[in-house]
Amino acid sequence: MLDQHLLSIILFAPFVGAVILIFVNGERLTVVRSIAAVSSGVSFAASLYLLYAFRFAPGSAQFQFLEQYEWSTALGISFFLGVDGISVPLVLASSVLLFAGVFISWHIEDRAREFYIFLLILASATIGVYVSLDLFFLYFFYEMSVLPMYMLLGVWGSHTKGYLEMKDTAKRDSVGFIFNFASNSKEYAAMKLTLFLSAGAVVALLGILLTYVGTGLHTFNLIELQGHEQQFTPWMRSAIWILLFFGFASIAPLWPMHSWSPVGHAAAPAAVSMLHAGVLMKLGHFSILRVAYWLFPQTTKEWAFLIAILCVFSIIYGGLVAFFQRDTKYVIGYSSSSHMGYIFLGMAAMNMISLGGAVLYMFAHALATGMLFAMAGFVYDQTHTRDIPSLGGLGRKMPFIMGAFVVALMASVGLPGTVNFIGELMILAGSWEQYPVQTVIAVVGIAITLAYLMRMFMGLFLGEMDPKWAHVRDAKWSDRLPLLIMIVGSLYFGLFPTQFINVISAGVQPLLEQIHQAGAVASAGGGG
Amino acid sequence: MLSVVLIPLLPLLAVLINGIFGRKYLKESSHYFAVGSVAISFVLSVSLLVRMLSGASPITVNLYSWIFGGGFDVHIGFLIDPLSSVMLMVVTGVGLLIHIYSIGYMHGDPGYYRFFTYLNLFMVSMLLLVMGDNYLVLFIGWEGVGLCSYLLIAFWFEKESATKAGTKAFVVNRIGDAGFLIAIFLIAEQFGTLNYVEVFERAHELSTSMATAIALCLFVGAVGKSAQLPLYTWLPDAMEGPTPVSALIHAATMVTAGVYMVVRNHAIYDLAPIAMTVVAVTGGATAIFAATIGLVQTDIKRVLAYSTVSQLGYMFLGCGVGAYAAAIFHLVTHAFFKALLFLGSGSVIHALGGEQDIRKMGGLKAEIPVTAATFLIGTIAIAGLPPLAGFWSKDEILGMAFKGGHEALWLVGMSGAFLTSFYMFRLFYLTFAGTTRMTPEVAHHVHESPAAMTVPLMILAGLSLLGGLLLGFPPEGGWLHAFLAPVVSGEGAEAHHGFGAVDVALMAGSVLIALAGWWTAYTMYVRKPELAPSWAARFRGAYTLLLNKYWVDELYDALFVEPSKRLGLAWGWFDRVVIDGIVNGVGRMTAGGAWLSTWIEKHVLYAFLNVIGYGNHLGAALFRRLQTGYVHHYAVILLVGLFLMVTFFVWWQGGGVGSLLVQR
Repeated sequence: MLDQHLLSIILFAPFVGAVILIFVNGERLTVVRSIAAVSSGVSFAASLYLLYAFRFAPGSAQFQFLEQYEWSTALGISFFLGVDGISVPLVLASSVLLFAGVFISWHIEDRAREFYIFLLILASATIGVYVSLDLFFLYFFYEMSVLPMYMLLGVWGSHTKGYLEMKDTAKRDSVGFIFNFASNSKEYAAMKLTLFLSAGAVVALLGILLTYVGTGLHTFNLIELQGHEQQFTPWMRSAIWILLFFGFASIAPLWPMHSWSPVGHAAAPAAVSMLHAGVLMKLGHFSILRVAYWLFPQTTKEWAFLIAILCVFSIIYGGLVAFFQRDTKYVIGYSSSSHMGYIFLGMAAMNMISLGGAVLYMFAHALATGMLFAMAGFVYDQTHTRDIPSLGGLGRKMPFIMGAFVVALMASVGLPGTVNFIGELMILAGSWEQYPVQTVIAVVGIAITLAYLMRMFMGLFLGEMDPKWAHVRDAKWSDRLPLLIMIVGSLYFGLFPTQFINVISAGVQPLLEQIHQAGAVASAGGGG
Repeated sequence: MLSVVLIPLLPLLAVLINGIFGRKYLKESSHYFAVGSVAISFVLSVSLLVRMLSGASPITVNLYSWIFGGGFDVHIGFLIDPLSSVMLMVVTGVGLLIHIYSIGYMHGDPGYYRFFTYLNLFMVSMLLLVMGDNYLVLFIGWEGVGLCSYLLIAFWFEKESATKAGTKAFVVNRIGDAGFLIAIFLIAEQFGTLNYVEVFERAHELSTSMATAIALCLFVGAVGKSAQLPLYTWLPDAMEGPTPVSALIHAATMVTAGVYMVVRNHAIYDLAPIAMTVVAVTGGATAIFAATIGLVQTDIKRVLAYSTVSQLGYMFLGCGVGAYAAAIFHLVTHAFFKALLFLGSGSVIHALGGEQDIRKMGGLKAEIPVTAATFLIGTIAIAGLPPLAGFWSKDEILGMAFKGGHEALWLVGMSGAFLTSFYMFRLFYLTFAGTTRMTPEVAHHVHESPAAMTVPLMILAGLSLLGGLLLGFPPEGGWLHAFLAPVVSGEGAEAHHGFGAVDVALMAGSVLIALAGWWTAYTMYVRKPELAPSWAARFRGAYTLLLNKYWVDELYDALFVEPSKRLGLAWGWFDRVVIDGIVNGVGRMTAGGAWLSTWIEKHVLYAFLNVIGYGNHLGAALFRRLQTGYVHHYAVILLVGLFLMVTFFVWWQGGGVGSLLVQR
């Protein structure tokens, strides 16, 4: 019973929480928070169970925990859930970050009920993408995850530095047409993010519809759609692949489609940044793997070089730009977009180690960046600024946060002992043979990562403390609990990654078999 | 074997205990766990050494399978052989003494518990580094010591110079690590395993070019960690950390990790003559380069730091000419006398209430006699006068270089030896001899350090006095060589060939050059103190060059930091102006189109089609009502929309609500 509906529980627990919250008196903060905590906790516990219940022994099914309900037979849509080794870590990451985010947001009092409703819907939709085996619902959840972001940024977000110093307050506050917003206001960020991601989604949708029409199978079922790549002309499948890839990569975000991301991070409240960088961005990588790689293995092989080129830009560009940001969240935002480049590198190399590493790194990055955003948010709540040069010396006042920050930093730069190290190592080791130049650049990129994160750490916590920060306090239990969960996760899976790697390999292997078989068939056909 | 596992595990437990309970509960008693755990590790290391001495075969311990699956198979495992047990003795032995010393030195510091937590974490990492049986465990330790080095340099984190120095150390080390990582990939690619034993067994299968590539990449890592040219700049700055840290990490253990790594991999280096030359030349160049900077520095710790860089250069010189055992020998003796010198300088700084400038010292011999006497022993040892420790090990490296046909390197090494002897005696005389230049209030408080600090000094002095003789006499055939022979003897190493006339001549040369250095320093700083400033004035150009450390930091700034800064800023600008410009431009175009169609609507269509216009108004009013501004209304609308969609689909496909619940 539990196993049969495990995915539904993980997916709908936050959603049910959101529905219940609608009927709760928003003034009663404790009740509101408890409902959010319980519903996200159920999802978290169930996805932990999922990790250990997933069978990876040779011969196990590729997709497990299947649930299928008819939706529209005419269009060939069914509500079809299932996970493979690639989605399991991402589901876990989503539910961990949701659970952590609920506690990180504990202090929110302004319309807390609505905040939690949107947060829960956001997480639920994200999980929905990861567990959907029906292309229609994958897209549905994908779009659905973008919309709450708009609200969360626009209402509970914060302006970036510079906005409040703008002299022309009339212009600053004129609510109206989108481009009247100052480009560092939260409204602008929310608008930009939503439009950008929707535009990306529409491009991807075009690819999806072309696939649907082109196969002529009248089904959105991803398993049935697989293996019909050869029905398309080479031009057509390349076009579809490009549409799918760039459509989904805009959320990843791949350079040069990244510009919505740092702005969006900066404007978002801490918990939203965590989910955004931690799991929302990975929707891009995941959807590329699930749709473009899975349905068009041969085309993927032909176009992988493009990924390998663009990923280097992401890595170096993001890293160097991050170094010169003043806003903590901009630093972490650019850092995330740089780290996404590593995942693309692993995806481009397409072998067991590199692709497995990429998936593991998605999970690892979710935890590490979640910690960083949680702490940047904490510091912002205490000091009401994210401007690095005006901070400093906070370490005396918040030793716990400083210690946790060191761990997050260790994880972000991939020091051994954290799960990020394993992911990074696998990506680089796997890519080495095929893309030695990119790998060397990526290895150098790690040193850049260290440089800008150290600079931020130094700027926030070290040095003399400005007396005006005398009032700041260290973390309370509601800040500590989520950080500790993420720290323990990062270190535990860094020391004992075997379970994870096995699960991931079980998911990566069939995908790679498709890709390499498709190539073999095509070349054999071409030769004959 | 339990005792092997316990060696790194006990300090790790101490880290956890002090890290969790230190701040609130343990405070000034944090050192019980810290020192206790290291002491037990030391005893266990001694027991392992005894086992090794009795001729036991290397012990391998496989703890657990760390990364397994997906084409990867790496375990956490330890290898105890003569080389690692020598390193264990250095790490735990010198480490223990420095832990004890720290009890006195750090007494009363508000971060006392934090200091011991970091120090123990360092011990854990360093132990993993020397004990690991594969490259990834080595790498864990390698990165761990880098992190701890950062944490400890920036220990007094309210001091801006300290935090900057720590960051610099960490980042420069990471640049070196890039090379190390690539070497690991190459090894994994070539052998399909990262286990030392398996790799070295099959090392001969490597082509010369591949061996050279691996060896050079590994060496890039060693250059970063062991502060060689061109990545040495972090080490002098690292002196911002507390002095016990300088002694432990930046003299005796961590910085020698590069030497350990090269010796450990000698099977690969032996196959790559070009890489060997690079190692030897880098070592020789660093040895003399750093020594020249050391000539004019005025900060007691910085002189020692440049001296460390220079001595590490000797070790690499030894590695590069195939004198692996001699390199390890020098590593061991250097750990003794350099730890002694650093701890001695710490004792001086402690006595003077934080003063580090040797121009404000002088005449301390009478005030702090134990420190002065032990420091003198350290000075003689490093200067290379027999029979103290440094003489035997340094002379052996130089002798091997000469006899191996590397006369130029030998000459460089000899010149470096002269400089070493000079700057060390200069340091000693300026600090301890002559009349005092202290300010009266500093002079008033001068006191000898407590026993917790002087006893480690005395023990290290004893080791510096006799260590060389015990471990390495007769040259090239001493006890240490015999012990290390099973590990380091490869094709490169030649059998001990007795003691010839050449050796005696070389030794005599070494002694003479050391004496010459001492005599010069004695003349310039004791007999005729007026000489030093007049020479500085006469060779103003050279003096300024050295005083500014050849402007290398400034050069790196201009070459690497500034360009990447510009690039970062330019790309940031590109992001804001070009990429965002395109995005906003598209937005504006849409807006323009909307405005245009609105205009057409209003002025063209509206005039004729009032009805449609009116309909528009109605629609707008409706939608306006939806936009109440109450956020929870939006949430309800979202959910209602969802519900409607579901209902629509169900109705449309004609299956009724029931079909939704029927599982296919």
